[in-house]
Amino acid sequence: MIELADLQICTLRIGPLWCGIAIDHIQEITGHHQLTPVPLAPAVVSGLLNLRGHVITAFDIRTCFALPVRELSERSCHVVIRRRKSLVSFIVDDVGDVIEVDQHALDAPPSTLDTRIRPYVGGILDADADVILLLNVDAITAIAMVSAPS
Amino acid sequence: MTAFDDPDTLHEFVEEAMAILASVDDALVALELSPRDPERLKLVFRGFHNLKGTCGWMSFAKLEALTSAAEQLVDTIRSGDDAFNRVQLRAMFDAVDTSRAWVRSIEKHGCEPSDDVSGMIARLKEHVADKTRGAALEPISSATPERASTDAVAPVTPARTADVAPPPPAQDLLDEAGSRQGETSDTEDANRSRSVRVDVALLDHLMNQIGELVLVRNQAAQFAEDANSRAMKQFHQRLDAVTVALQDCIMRTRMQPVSRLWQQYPRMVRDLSLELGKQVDLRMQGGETELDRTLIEAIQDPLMHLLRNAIDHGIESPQERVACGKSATGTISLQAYHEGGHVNIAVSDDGRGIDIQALRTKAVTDGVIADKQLDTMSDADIVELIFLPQFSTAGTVTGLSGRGVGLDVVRENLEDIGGSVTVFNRPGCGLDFTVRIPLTLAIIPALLVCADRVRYAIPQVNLVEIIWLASTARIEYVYNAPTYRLRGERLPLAFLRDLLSLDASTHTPSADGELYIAVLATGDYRFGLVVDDVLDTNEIVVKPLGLELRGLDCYAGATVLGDGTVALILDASGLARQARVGLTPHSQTTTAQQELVQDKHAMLLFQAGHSRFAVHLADVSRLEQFTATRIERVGEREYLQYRSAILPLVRVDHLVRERRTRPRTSVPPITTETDSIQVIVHEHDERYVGLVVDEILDIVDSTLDTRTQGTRDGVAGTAIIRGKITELLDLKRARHVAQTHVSTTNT
Repeated sequence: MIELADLQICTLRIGPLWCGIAIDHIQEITGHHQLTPVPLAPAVVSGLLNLRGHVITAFDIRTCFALPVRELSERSCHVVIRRRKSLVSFIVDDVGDVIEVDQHALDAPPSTLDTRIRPYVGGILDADADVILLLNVDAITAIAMVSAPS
Repeated sequence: MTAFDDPDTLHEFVEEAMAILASVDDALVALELSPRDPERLKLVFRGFHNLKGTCGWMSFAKLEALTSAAEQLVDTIRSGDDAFNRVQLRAMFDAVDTSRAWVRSIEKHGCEPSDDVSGMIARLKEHVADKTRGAALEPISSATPERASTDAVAPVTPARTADVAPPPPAQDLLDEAGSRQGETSDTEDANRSRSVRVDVALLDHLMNQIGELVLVRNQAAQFAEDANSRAMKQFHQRLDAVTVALQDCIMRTRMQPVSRLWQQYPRMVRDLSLELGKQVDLRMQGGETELDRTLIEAIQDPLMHLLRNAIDHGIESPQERVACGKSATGTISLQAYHEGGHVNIAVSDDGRGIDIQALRTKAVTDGVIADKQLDTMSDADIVELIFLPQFSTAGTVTGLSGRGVGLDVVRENLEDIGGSVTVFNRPGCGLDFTVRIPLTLAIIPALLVCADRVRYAIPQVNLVEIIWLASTARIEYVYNAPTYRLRGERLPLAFLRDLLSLDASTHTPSADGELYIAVLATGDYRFGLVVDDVLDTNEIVVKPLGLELRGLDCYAGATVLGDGTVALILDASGLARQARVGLTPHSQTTTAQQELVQDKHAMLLFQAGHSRFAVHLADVSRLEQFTATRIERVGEREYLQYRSAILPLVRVDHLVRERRTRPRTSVPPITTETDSIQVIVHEHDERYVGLVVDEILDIVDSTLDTRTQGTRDGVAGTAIIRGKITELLDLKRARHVAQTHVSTTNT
């Protein structure tokens, strides 16, 4: 854990939840894109989008938090995340501010947190009146990892 | 011990050293056959000399000492106008192997390994001293297994002794070889000023950007269409022209001659045949045929496997060969050639082939095939069995390669890149494998289809034909499996909607309505994919799917269409698996596969020499009969004045010769016994060639099995027409022979 650096976190809303992703992971945030469905893919994959010629898998992370899937609205946008060498997109309902927090402010998620959700939460943050769930990007993209056929 | 900080310099050193070692290796193999070849000696000398220099500059002291000792030995031999004996050659091979292992190690760790090479250096020096003393060494028996050879086959022996860093598997070598010129160092000097080394990653990046440009062009096309403006259309046309030219150039930078892959083979064949006590002559043809770099990488393992199989199991021991009336030295030939958007590589040996009866017996005893099924299977079907997993026909399976073990992997690997492999058995005379590879992977033609209002792309490579059905009534169900009768064959069908578990409510396949069947072929099987609609064909840029979706084997990737939306590329073999098409091999599907390559063709049959030949009627522009006296001879060539032009004549019986005999050594005799000759006039690119034949037999509509490739020069393939074995004349070869006629007489 790097003690000195402050953590810059982009806040985003998924349904009623406020979440955060460390800004280092984020390449860009883009608006609406037409999605191409991927039949047979896990439910968390909502489709493929064309980001300036790159084909990127879009995740609807509502499914991770057991929230009902619904039609994408005008305000929903793609948070494009660098993951190792490739890019993925998380579809979120709204994007908030970038906040700077002290590393120390980061708490472990409470032990009572729903075990289905727990793996996707890297930590929690208190910000004003809200609690921000810091997303574990790797764990979320790993759900979709379809095991290769033997 | 030198640690190198600058990775670029180090990388350059490794590249150069590997290039040098590869060419030296090549030259040494050649020297083994003609030990006095001064050019080759010079090459080896210069190779070691250069390497020594670079090592000195990089302060790799031990490698420098080793290469210096090797250089000295070559120099002594060269200056003494002498030749290597076997022991010295072996020492040289060892020196190359060790140097290579060291370069590998240097690449990995940035410094020389701590191993001691003084022994090897001492041995090399000893040879130098022996030479100067004038001591003559007896050549050693070739059957003695050599250290060098056991090392060289290390990749297939699971346990390798690693006292010294083992020489790298030959495959690794190619990664390096892939990015450099394949010429010998002699010509390299000449080329240096005209070519530069470019980082492969940069080329890949460039390729990606061109892919983008192609997409932009496609989008522009759409705009131009919509805008209906003249200026926009012109703009699009220019953009299109530039893009096409650019794409062509960049594709060419990715192309590499297959010889780059092949240059490691002479050494491997030498080592392996030595170890197995066999005599093998490796012939390589068409090494200049170019393939996409990524494809070259993809086929190196399968090809190596086929080659090993041929040496290990195909070619018999010299004694056995002589007993069969063959020459003691077996021949393995590698041939690369273009054929309709594909590159074919044929690996043929003149060994024992496959004993069909033994294979049948084994298939039954191993429980691969039921007794009953066996009766319905043709010999060709039986041979196909060798591609089944864990099916080995070798009496004794050596550690190297059991015939059949791993052939399933060979086929699988090739299918992964959209290629295929077929086998043609000549019992007692050899085995021919033909590997078929698409030209490139990056930009492919594809058919766009529609299912549930979403577009999917099907690579053209897998597409055989499209059938339009006015109603679903013609789909017949065998219990619950939908099939379609296509020219008498029952074609299994699969509904794309079902395969992809798409919502069936929007479209019920049972309701009467028009639909399309895209007949797809993967290496083994053929099936009909039922889609809602067929749109058009398009050049698409293949984009890989994200890691998280790689496991879905129904998709080969994705592409961006002209309107900017993403479309998934369907993977025919993945779909076949999903549809459970041909999970078990049975004769029907294999015949279906054969039919794939069989098509009705009008063929002209004729007799020449003792053989029956055929050419496509479409290639024949006319049939003529001339009096023999009209033949005019220039040198050893024959010509006719035909329609106020010169018609070069090619005698088919001279064009087609058994491989063993040297072509065109004798002057063709002027026909005197008959007073007329039969000539088939063939036209290509406004040039005429007259094929002199003995007798025109017939014109037939025949199916043509193109899987069987030619067994001798001038023959493109063999087919059974009207129940007789008929060879298909290689017109390209005929044109080539005729063309060399004209050019030689013009000068």
